[in-house]
Amino acid sequence: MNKKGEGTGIGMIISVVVLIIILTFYFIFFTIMPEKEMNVKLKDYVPSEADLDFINFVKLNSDLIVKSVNTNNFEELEKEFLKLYHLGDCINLQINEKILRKGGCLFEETYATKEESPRQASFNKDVLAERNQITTKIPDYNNNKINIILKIKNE
Amino acid sequence: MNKKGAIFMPMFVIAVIIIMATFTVIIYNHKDKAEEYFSVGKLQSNIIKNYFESEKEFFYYEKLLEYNEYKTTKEFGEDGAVPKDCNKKWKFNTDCEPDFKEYFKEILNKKIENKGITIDSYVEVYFTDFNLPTETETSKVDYGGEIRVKKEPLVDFKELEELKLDIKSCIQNKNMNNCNLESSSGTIYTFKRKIVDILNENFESEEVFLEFKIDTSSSGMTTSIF
Repeated sequence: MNKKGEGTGIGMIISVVVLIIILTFYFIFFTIMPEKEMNVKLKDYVPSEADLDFINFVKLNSDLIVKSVNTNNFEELEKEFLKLYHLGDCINLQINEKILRKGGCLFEETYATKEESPRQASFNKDVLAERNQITTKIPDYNNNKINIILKIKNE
Repeated sequence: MNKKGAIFMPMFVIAVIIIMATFTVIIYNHKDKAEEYFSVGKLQSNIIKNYFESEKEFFYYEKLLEYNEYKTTKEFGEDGAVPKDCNKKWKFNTDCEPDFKEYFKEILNKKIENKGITIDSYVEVYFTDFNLPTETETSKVDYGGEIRVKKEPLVDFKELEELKLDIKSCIQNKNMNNCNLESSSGTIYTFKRKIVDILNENFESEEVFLEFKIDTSSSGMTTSIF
């Protein structure tokens, strides 16, 4: 004689157990393990205090910059450049082809040309460093453009 | 024998697995878009960025006007405030009568390549327009306008007009000595006036003098016979 539900008990138990396992894994992967915060993604650069400092630096020293380019003597400008050192670990100020560096630091480490294999720790630090770049231009006395680029690296 | 109950739960489990797998795929695929849509401050960030860009543009043109004004003032003084073919000689009621603002404007125009220049109590130059729009998924902000630079002129044109009147008066009164002349030779009188200090190409302070001559025998003015 047929009984309704006969033979379905095991099937039901197995189904419920499988459901519980699936829900448990789902709970683990989506609530406990992943990051809980939604990161803001901005593809464009984010303005910062460095922009203001850089713009003010250029405004205050524009005549000195033009004079330095004309005479190819950047000694006086190097002294003023000290005032931008607080902006990051490594600061480079590029004026046309000339580059002023904070403590001689390189913005892009070129390990291939250093003739030594880098220590892994410093290589990783450089690769993961946060980089920022701000550009502007000013005219010189003869209406030619002088390109100025500030590069900031924070390890 | 068919038991509907025997297949219901397994089918239900399979359906749940499929639905949850689908949701997982959808969530991960749209995660990037969702993060960008909810980027708080992106519009504001771009507006600030564009403001900084406009600051840089304005500063560029301010310096452009400043340096060209120095060069213009120097040339203006060297020419005696009259066209070059006058050879620094003032002759009234002719093309060699000094029109200080117009001649200054003419020289400046050549140096900054035909921009819109106005010289009155201020020197005002229209250089170009700027346009820095910014847009996100939900809003759009237009930021643009004219780049106009306005500054007080280095040269005191009012003082020069007064000098011109004084010279005319001296010619009419036939007494050139009253006009602080620099030197004279026959009927030719030479005048020299400091007009302003400028920064030269070495960024050193340099005095600019206005030097001009008047030939009283052909000054262009009718003088009293008495």
